[in-house]
Amino acid sequence: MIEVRELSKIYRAGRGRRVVALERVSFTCRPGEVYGLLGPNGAGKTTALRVLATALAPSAGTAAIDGLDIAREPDAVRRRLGFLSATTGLYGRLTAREMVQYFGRLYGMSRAEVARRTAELFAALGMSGFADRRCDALSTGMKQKVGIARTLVHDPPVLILDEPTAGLDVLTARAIVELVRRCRAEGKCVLFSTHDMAEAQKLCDRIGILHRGRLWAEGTVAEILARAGTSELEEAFLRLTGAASEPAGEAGGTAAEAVAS
Amino acid sequence: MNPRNVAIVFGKEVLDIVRDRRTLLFMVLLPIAIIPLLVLVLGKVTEAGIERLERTPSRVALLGERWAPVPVLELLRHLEDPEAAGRWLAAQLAGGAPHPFVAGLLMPDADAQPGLAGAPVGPRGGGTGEEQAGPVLERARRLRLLRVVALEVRSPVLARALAQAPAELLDPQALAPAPGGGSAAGPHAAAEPAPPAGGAEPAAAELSPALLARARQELCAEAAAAIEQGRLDAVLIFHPGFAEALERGYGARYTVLVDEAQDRSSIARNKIEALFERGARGVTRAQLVRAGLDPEVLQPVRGQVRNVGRERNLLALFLPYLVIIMCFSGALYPAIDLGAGEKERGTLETLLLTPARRSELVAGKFLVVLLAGLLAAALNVASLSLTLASGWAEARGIALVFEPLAAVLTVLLMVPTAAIFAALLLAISVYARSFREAQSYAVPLNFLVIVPAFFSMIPGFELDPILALVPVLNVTLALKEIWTGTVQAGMLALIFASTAAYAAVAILACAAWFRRESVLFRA
Repeated sequence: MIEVRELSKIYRAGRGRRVVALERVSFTCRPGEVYGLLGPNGAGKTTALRVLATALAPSAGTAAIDGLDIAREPDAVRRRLGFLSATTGLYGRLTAREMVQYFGRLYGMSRAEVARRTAELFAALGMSGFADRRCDALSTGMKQKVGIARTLVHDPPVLILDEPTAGLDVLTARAIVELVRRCRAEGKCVLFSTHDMAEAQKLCDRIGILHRGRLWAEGTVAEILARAGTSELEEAFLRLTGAASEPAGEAGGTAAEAVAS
Repeated sequence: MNPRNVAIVFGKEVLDIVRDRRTLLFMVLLPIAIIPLLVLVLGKVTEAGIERLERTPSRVALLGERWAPVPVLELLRHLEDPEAAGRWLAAQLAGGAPHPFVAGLLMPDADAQPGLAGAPVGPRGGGTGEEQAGPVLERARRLRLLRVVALEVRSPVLARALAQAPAELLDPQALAPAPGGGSAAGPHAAAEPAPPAGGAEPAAAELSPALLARARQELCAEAAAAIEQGRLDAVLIFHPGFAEALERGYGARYTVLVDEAQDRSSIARNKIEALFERGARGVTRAQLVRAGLDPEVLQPVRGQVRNVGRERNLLALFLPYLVIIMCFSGALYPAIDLGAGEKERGTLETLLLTPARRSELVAGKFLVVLLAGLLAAALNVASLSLTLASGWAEARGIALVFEPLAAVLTVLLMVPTAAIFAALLLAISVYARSFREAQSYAVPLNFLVIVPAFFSMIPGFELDPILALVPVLNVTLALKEIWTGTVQAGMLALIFASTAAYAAVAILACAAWFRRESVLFRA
């Protein structure tokens, strides 16, 4: 369960300039639900996910993971989170098994637990053939699976996926799609960001449209389409954010814009 | 801080680094190999180069031969080959009293103790030639070789001057080195008063001073060109009256034309000077004998020095500099890999999202970098000690003392020093977005380490309470004193305390740095 309340994040960009990356964003993602943050590059998706994952501290507002406040109990929050992004890499000189076990150990699991869980994940993901090969020597698809195994090693109830399919070919991206579907089936709460409308439409139970740091609309795909009065998500995005009439517009200038402090 | 997590990070990083060939190179191979490489190979190569130049006969063109004594000329013509020189010298001895100049070549070295450097060979002994043939050949083998070649005279002015007025042309005053210019003359040339040009032929009247001056210029220019083009190494000029002056016992003058920029020319100059110095000693000796004096009056005073303290330790010269540099470069690569490397691979973010605390991550990484630096330093000390102990130093009479206490103190001082390096490098590394960026940040830091380390090699630069507070510099100076055995306990304690304090500050700063969003997630 992810509950986000009025979350804001402001970066200091030097020389007294501030960049508002997130402005009073609120949404909820329930167990067994896939929630998609949809928005173009620079909308604030990565910032939002990093704040929720406790990598960045929020400037204002709050969020809770399974009822635990991200600012007050970051350690407990991290134990419940699995985080994966398209830019996440592997330690090339470690084997797939060592890689996954290292993270399992850092999540506080005992050696025996880690070994058992690794074997389980490798079997489920079809990784047994390359479990003891160095990550350097793996194909993109194999690396993707190692990343997924790493994300799931501590069996987190909440998954945060930052543009997980960006830059992946269709076959490799399928592994991610399966991951999302399986986690939903297991009752996990999955929050993921994407700029791919079709992917969002295909995978998400509910969607939040993020643009310039603000959440413009929220709901199921059907609800959003109905609200925008269109049958295409892309068109709905443009209408709901007012992006079609850019750069004018009273709303457009508020977020993700450099303002004097 | 949970030591379990520190240990997990430490273990993983060690495994990661051990599997990396590049680290192996910088951390293990380089510190081990650099000393033998520098000391042995470089030393051997330069020695071999110098020896080759010394063994190759230097090509010398002669001018003013008519003023040179015949035995000296003959000697010069026999110096091309050590065997030939030996035979010729032995024949000279066998044929009775050789020319004192030639006998001078067979005398023992001036600085040798009498009776120690083999029996003195020469006219004093007056023995038979057969008896002395052995030592003569032995000495001839060590003669420095010269080959007499002809000077090609191309300038008509010079040719005319040489033919018509050689005495005036080769006047020593006129050929004296130009003021301010490099000395082209032998040391004997300028100092002594001009000899009466007794044996000089009457000068041809038709050559004007201006023409002679031009001829001298041409001579120098032709000598320079011939040396530069590799036809010659030097020109040796006997000035008018050389033979008579040598007979008289003083005032014989010669000039060597050289090109100091050419090694082979400098070597030719050294050989010629050494030859004349030895010959001159022979002449002086003969004079003394003739005057009924003991040749020992040449050395009215003989001094000697005996070191009653500890021997000067060669390790003190190299060790501080190398240990510091190796420690730094040993830590450099792992530090970059553990910080910027995580960013470049995209693993840092996931690592930061584990429940392990930042302080635990920093501690695990810091310990690995620290260990790498210390390992490199230790390997370097071991390699240095073994190299110097392998007979290299002994063969050159250089004292090498490896003292266990000094080694222990070195380790003690290097731990906080390596900690400073590790913390700073790790901080730089985690700030950088890529390997390349981290390396570019490390370059100025490298200078900050090399420069103070270099100061330890300057003689007379010694520790005082203020220098004892300057990081890195204090440790290099202390290491130098530790290995010369002159360090004071109070100073050592001050340096250790200040270095440990700097290390603590650096570590805390590095840990704080690891908590900054702007450092970890730089746009």
